[in-house]
Amino acid sequence: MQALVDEIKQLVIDSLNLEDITPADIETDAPLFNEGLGLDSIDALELGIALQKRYGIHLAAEAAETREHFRSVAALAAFVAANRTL
Amino acid sequence: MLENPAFPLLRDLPRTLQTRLSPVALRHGEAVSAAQFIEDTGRAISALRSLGAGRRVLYSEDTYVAAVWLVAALCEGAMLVMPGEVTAATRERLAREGDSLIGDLPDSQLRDWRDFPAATLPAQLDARSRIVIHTSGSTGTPSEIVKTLAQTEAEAAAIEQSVGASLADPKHKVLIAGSVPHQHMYGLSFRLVWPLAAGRTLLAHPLPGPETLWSLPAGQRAVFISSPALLKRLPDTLDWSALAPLAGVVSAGSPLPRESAQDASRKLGCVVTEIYGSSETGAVARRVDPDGAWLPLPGARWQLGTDDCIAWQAPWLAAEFGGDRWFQSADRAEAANGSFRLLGRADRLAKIEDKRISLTAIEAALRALDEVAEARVVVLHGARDEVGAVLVLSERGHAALAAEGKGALDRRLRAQLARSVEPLGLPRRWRHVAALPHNELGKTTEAALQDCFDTNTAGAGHPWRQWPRVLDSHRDGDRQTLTLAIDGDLIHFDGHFPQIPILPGVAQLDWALHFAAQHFALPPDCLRLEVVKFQQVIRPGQRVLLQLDWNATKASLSFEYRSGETGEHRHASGRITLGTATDTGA
Repeated sequence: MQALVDEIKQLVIDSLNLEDITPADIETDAPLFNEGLGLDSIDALELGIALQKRYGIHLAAEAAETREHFRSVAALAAFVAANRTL
Repeated sequence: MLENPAFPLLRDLPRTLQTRLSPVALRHGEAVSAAQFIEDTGRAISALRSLGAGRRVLYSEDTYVAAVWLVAALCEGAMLVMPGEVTAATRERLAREGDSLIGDLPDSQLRDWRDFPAATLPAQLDARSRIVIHTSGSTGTPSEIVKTLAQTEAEAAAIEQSVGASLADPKHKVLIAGSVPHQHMYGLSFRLVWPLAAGRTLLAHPLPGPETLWSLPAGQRAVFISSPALLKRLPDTLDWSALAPLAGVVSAGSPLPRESAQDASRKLGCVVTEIYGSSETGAVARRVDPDGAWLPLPGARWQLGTDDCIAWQAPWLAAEFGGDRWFQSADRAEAANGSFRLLGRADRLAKIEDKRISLTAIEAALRALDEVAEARVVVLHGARDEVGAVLVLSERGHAALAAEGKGALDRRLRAQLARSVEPLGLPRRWRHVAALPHNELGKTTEAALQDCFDTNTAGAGHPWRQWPRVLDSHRDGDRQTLTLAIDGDLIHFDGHFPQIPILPGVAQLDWALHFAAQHFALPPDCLRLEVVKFQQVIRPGQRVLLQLDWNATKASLSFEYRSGETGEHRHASGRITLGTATDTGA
């Protein structure tokens, strides 16, 4: 799981083209959006696309559910582990 | 200048109505006499007296109905709020603050005055009355502008002395019609207050589209109070030759392009008078030549203030902008022929992924931070639209940079900014510079700010620029040490060389500058390279340390690439002197 967590941190940095940040700077349990890393609505779109490409997962159209998966890297890793097809 | 020095004052309206011959309004095709207006207003006064204390919130799309309630409120010394629209939030606030809603909405407490007895109007309107109007909210949430009776009166007089006096027709004959709502400052001043005060007849119903102009009564010339939104879209397909020439057209809201002004002038049979102003200032200037300079309305004074933006004083500016103070707009201007020309907005509203964001507001929020001495932002159009911030750090900012490192500091500043700036407006790229770049005129140009990112930003327009993954990064005084993963898929190995891929020296220099710019406040330009040596090649799959030492006094950056358990293998090293190139060709 730790490997997947690190992988997702790197994916977040790469797919969102984040600057001046290393995987070590992203707290596993901290919120990705609003507070914490402070990602925005366009980031959510980009990250969704990157996750789909990399792990073959599809995010639910239901916004509330997607928001839950995007809560933190930990939540995202759990979601990817359970749903990945690639 | 003052063609009409005996202009009647709004406060004397109850008296002037007594002798007024022209109809107050044209409504449903019928003229409403002054006597009828006095009676309606008297009944409206009684109706208002039936309400409890608190403010009166008026919403009616019928300009005659609004005029009756407004004059009744002015007779009573009331606080009358005219919202642009009545939203759920407005209703909630009304309920909470005990204000009363009057007018045409289904839940209005007062919808009609007819069943109330006609009270006698006072000799003069009550000077304690206030009219509250909302700003359009285009730069944020709508805010309230509070106008006194004297201010409202002063603006109406200035409009009559300028726009009114320029109308060719005898004053009592002209009908004031319009396409703009009277719930906003422009429409309120021109469609409702001005005709009332100047004894001109107002058209109760708006004329929202060009085709509605044919509904104007025959035999009476009209002034059309409109805006570029409509005047730019007068279809050629309508039979304009069949429309009786108008007595005047007034346009406000944004500048009317010259072609549109000429087109409107031809189709409507009169010149277009453009009005300059805002919710805060009211009408302050006019022009009839779309290429010409603006003339202040009588009583309005202007000067160039901050950043060449025009500032205003006029007797009708609301109290918070009035008195000895100048209202500073965000419209840049230059003096021309004793008057002024507008040069565009200074607050730089940018579209970021379809959302309107005020760059000026972001800069103000950045400057308010303790760590920041100066700040400018630009919109970067790379893979996505994003905001880049160029900062000059304060003393405290430099201390924080040394203690926390650039990434952590930037993220902290971003989090602080998030309290006042919406997510899409939060900077995603940060550059710390010793001084803001400026040209020979001392101006910080957009292009120079973009350059701060172009030379340092991943991707943006330079496919060959790519950065290695940073595995670790730590700060020790003026030294930043990064651990870099040299992945085989880096663009630099592409064809360099086909059989033996090695990392080009130019990429190593580029990386050193790139990462140094992230961690230190570097001057914008690279002046010269010194003692640069490439001792051992760097191959794909390696993990290297990049050690950067910044000497601010000498403006000199030393770099060193090493690898091995204890960093015993030295790959490259050198020194780069930075500064500001004297001629940037700006």
